[in-house]
Amino acid sequence: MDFTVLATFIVYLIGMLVIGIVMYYRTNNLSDYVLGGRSLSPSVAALSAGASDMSGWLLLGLPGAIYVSGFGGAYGGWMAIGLAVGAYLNWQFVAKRLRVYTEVSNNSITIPDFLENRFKDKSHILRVISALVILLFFTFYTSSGMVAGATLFESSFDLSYNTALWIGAIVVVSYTFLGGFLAVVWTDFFQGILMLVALIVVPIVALNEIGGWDAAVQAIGNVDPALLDMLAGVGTFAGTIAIISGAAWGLGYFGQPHILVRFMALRSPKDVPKAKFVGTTWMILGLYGAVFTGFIGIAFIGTQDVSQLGEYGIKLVEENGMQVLDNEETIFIAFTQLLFHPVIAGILLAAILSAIMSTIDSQLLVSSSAVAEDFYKAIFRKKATDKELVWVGRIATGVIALIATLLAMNPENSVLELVDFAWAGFGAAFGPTIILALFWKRMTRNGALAGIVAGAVTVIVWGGYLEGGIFDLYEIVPGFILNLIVTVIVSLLGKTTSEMESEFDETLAQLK
Amino acid sequence: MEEYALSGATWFWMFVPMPLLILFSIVSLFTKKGD
Repeated sequence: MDFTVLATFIVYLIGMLVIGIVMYYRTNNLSDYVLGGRSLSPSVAALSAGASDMSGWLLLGLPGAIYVSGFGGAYGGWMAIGLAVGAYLNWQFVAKRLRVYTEVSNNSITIPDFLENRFKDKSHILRVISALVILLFFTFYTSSGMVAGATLFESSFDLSYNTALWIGAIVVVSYTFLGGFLAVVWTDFFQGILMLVALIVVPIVALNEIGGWDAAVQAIGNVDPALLDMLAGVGTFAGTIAIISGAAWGLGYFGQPHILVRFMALRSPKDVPKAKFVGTTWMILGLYGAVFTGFIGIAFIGTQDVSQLGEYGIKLVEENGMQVLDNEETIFIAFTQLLFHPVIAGILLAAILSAIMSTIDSQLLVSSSAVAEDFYKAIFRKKATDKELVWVGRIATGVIALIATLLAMNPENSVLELVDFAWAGFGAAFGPTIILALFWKRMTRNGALAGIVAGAVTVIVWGGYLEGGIFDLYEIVPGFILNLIVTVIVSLLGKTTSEMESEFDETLAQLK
Repeated sequence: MEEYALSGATWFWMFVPMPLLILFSIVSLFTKKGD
């Protein structure tokens, strides 16, 4: 274990806890706890949306995918483009309207709250179904993040997996428990900056080490020229399916509750253009950093002496007469260990932990708001005080985190696979619902309900039980399309109320 | 020895759409400032 790296990590974790304690004293009611009292500046909202969106995937998964198949593998490159376009369109079309509409619609503070208020659903069924979708998917999503965090701790510090898991869980739960939304967004803000710096510095230093761009391209071309061509798979059925699946990840944005609440928490709708600029720039630079970390990694690991990686617990294997990483997702970690002083390496590794923690904390908070606002207050205790609700939210954070941690105790657990599922599940269940709720006056409560169920069920069946041929298409595509169709048909069969229509008109008026 | 380079399609898809999005967001920063 390198104690310099460990010390850097500990300083970082203490910093996150301090933010939690400071924000504890600024949290007075449930709106503060789950939405920060709608007080976020555009930069904080934008970086927080990006950091909670991206998770460890940006520093581990995407570089790993590119490391394996270069640009030739449709997954990495096309996924980056799809995500960039999806995130941009979300800021462009959803952010401002959602910010205004949620305030007009009885000052809604969660997505289920908004759906109930938007469709004047007195039966609470829409709220309960959407809160259940949130709780189900986020428990597994959070758990998969904890597995990733524990694996990082384990491989960096030689700790046992379970010790690593509990340390990570205690830190992230502590600051989320104490400081709520304000702690989460401010830690996200710093974590987002750290992630971006790491993703810019690592590929540049690696490229310099290897002798520049041309040398990298030649070395990769020698491995396989197809790695240099994004259209390598076009023309075959499987290749086309893979490209569409990669790009379709962008559809997921419109339905991710932990990202949408950042829009709702902006201090003013007028801040959206600035937040969009910061958020889009952060994301695209981050995606480029991740893509080139993986791309340069192919040349670097294949041509340089990297035998010392074994000392850090990173395994190498021989493939076609060339050394490659046994686990492709360790490419970013390999670079930090090979190229940087231990203090810098500690900071760069903390960036990975940042990416993981900033997603877990946001998901925990949205789940706890579903319990406090959408179950406890809406169904059991309509007259609950603000203080009581904040404490229900805090307890829910602890309980959900405990379940997620227990699920994560088996590192072989299939929860990691559920990240794909959860992204598709939210995208298909809530994406079309949110878009239509914001833009289509004629949408009804039953339309929303049928659409959410159709989207979620399609994702579960297509992704979980069907495979081969067309069923290799990412499940978000059929789920999203089916939700759209079902919502429109069912809405056209029913009627809206004058109250719903006047609220819709008032939102439009405020947007002008 | 054969010389390798990124394909034209890769250059286009990697370096045109994403920077364009940043450009669009800069444009709307100025055009919608008075909202």
